[in-house]
Amino acid sequence: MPQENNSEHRIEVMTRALVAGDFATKVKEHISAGYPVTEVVKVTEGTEWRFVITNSGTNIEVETIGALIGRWEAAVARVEDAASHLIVHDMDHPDDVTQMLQIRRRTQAAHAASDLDLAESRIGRYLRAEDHLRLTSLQSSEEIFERVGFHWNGGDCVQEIWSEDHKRKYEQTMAKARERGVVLGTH
Amino acid sequence: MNDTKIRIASLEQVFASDDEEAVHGAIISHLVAKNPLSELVDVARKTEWRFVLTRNDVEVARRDELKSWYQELVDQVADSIPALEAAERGGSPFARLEARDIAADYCETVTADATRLCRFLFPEDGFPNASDDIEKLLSRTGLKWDGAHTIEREPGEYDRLFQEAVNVLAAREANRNQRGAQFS
Repeated sequence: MPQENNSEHRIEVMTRALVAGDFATKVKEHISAGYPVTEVVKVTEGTEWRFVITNSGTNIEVETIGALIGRWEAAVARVEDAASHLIVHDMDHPDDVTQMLQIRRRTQAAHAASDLDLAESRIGRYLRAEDHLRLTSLQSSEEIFERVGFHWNGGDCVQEIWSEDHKRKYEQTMAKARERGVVLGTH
Repeated sequence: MNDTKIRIASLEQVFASDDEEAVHGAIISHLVAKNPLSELVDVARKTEWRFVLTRNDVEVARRDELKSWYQELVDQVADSIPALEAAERGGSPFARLEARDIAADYCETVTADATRLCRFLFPEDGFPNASDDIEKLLSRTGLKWDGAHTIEREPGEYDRLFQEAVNVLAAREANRNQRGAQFS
């Protein structure tokens, strides 16, 4: 069968497209024509390009690993930002206004965490085994929240992790908040 | 040529079943043996099975299940609308915020899942359009979903409503302190 020769030709066309910058178009043509996936694997091996074949084999999404990691990092940064607004408050007697303001911050933190989850699963589809090594420096939302004394419930809220020295942590955050000029409630 | 026919016949047989594991396995073996993707596409097209190929794995799902799942998620948004309307008609700022947050959550879920569904389907299956469906459902409430976590009349309105709620609490607290002072 002449398919073997064609295969070499197709690989060459895609490789050239990689350099020329129209890889996404060429590879889409390749897949929609029903050519072997192994040829795309061959072309992308050792390159920055990653792909997922969608729509039951009729379409392909290509991304560079740099762009994927960038999106992941951005999602982690949003969790870090949201976590920086979390404060431990008086567990025995928090006033209503402080609680209300914190509820918002806590909901936002939980949303950032679920966005990160979604980003992880979307980006994860593109990754090769070796790519995970490049992601080890990225923190999980669990680590980020734990550092500030919180735990995400997996849904719409983050909760304070109870600990023996809660009182000390509470006083610390209050002092820090005052330093930053944050008005907490009416106390 | 004969090989191709046999291969396709055996794929067809597996795809006619509702055995997810078997379909998953058949797709992998087919690709590992470097057989053309077009054969899988042609076979799948005539059945309910849809798939996505990642670098290391194959995800499979049934079209009918994807579609009914999507409909369930749209219904969830629809079911949250009466409470949203009731709260808007005369609920406290707290009730309004809560109803909006609940509905926004459902909007997010249906949208995230629509994206997932679209990855599986053939164009001729018809792609769900979550933002259109949500807009239609919300249209009679005068509210809009911002595509993320917020439902509001116009940008910034949710923030004002939230501040209103905080003010109500602050006033209540001030009132309490005053009363406390009177009795002491």
